[in-house]
Amino acid sequence: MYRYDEFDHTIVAERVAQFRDQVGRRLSGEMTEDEFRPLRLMNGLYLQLHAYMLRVAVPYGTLSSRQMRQLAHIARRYDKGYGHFTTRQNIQYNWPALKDVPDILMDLADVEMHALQTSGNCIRNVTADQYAGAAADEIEDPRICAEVIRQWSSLHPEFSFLPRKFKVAVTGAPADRAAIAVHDIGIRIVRADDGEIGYEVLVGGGQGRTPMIGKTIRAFLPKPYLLSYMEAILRVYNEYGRRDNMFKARIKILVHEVGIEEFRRRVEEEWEAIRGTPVELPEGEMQRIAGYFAPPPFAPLPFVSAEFERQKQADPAFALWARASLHPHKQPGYAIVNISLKPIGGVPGDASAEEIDAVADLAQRYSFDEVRVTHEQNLTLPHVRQDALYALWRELDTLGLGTPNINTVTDIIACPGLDYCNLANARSITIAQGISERFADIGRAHDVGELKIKISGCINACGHHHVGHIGILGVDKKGEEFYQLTLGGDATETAALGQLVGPAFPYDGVVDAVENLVETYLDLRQQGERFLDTYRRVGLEPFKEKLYVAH
Amino acid sequence: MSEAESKSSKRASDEGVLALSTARGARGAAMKAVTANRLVDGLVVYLGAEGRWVEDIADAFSVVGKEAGAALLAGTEPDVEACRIVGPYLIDVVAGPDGKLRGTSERERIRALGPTVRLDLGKQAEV
Repeated sequence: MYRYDEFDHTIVAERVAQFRDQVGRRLSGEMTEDEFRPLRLMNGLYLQLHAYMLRVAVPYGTLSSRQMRQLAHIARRYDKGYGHFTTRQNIQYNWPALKDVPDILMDLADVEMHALQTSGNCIRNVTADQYAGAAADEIEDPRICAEVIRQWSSLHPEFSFLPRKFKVAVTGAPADRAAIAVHDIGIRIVRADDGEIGYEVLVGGGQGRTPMIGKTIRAFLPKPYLLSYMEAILRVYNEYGRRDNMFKARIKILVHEVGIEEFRRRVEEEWEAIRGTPVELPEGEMQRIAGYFAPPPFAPLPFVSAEFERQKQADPAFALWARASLHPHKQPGYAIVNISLKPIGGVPGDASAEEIDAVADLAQRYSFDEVRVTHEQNLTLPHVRQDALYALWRELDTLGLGTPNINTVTDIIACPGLDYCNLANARSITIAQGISERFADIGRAHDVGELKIKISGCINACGHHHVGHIGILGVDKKGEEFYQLTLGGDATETAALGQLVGPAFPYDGVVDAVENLVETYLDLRQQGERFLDTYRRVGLEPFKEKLYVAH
Repeated sequence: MSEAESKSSKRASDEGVLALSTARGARGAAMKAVTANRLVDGLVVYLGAEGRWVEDIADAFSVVGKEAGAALLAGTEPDVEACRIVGPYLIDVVAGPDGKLRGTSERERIRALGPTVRLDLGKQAEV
């Protein structure tokens, strides 16, 4: 894992001291709210529906057990005993008091954490594939690239007041588990025909009120030029991005309006001027950073554990969990374990302090001290021996963290919605809970197969509804909660935006509508087809016909 | 300023406009109250009688009509300057079947009580 150097320690410690002083001046009346608001937002502190909300950065979703325990401690000491893991791989606390936030930031700094780049019009916390350094299909660990970008972007003076916020995601494998196509910049690590590893760079993706799939601006960027090329893109955006209309200020609008060819021309022109200058990463620095992400001391093991195979045969419940929760690891004899934060009827992404502590303990004993936060609001133990999976599963099950529903109809992304968020038009979590309870029969959920349901409580799309196989968007109709449904969205390497099915459904009709869509899929599917495959084969109409006949 | 924050402000003003058409009193004018967040801890508060800030919407002081509402809101400026509260705005309120005031919108009902998904949190947990 990355460890802070003296510069990181200094930056974070100075920021805590600055914010402590700013909070003191705000509480004493030396500073107005208008003066204070941009300062608190730069430290991840929002004012939400019920109280302040503190968003803590989890760079590329990687946490150590020690950091997890500190997150649990903060939840207990300063909040209401829980935290909420988000689609940005961050954690949010929903109830901190302003007077306590400097102490929280100090506690975070003690474990090399902070709340920088979680708000404001800067380059936000970089996200990455949660299976980084572990996935069997990985070309290179995306955290190396992500950490380089983090160091370059943190407090970057030229890019601290961009036209709008700016989100970067990195995937190190052909399979995209980081939703790179719906980020301002998406980076896919690729291997050229001659074996050289570099970056495919996408630009102009995003969700919100104007969803766009990112376009490839450069099919292969040699690794030494990562920062000059990033800088060139940001400079073009900073110069030409709109500042007159916040709804048209994201880079996706600029790329769309000038076209990818013209945008690329401007970037290449800028790049030509700065390529090879001191903006590049010094030689050897990439290797130094890569050293932080060296593989843990794996044991030499056979590719498949005979004990694991026997345990699956002997215990069907374990076999079901294993089928849902495991992902192939690059190291023989190991597995990637996903921990569902979507118990039936639960709040997607919420974890109690006790659960956070428990996962920290499991990570320490089973996964070389590492935990990952996924953008789908689950947790991952990246490096678990196959022959330890049965024992791990029994512990997870005892803790209530063994729900075998990863990638199924009940593994739902939901933003906080109107239950917590100042922006929301409608509740998201309760809709997720209703669907979860309707499909509580795990056998039925597995029969349905892979199905990504994503729910947002407003057009800002924090719940990623645009890229849900079934997307649900809460809207306000004359003071009542209504929900639009979209079909066919996809956040992976075959990214697509969902299509609106038809008129919105009232609150009480949404779960029935989702079940109707699922039943239509089950009627139409051919051998081996996922929901998305069937939708792509038959299109919107059969689903629409069934849905609105029934209502 | 973040999108969240700026839209929040707009929403508050929108809510004042919405109030005129959705929560009218017996003579056709809407009942209004003022809400805000307490600066030190962010908790939701309401302007009560005699200028006190109270935590329960049932204890909020209400007025009828746009002009009275505007005057009520304007009167909170000293508390903003004194750093007692932040972001005051007008909301529509009605008297419920039990005679107690409550917000007319789903948003204000949730804000007054707490998350509907965690009945153990927020003001609803204190009842």
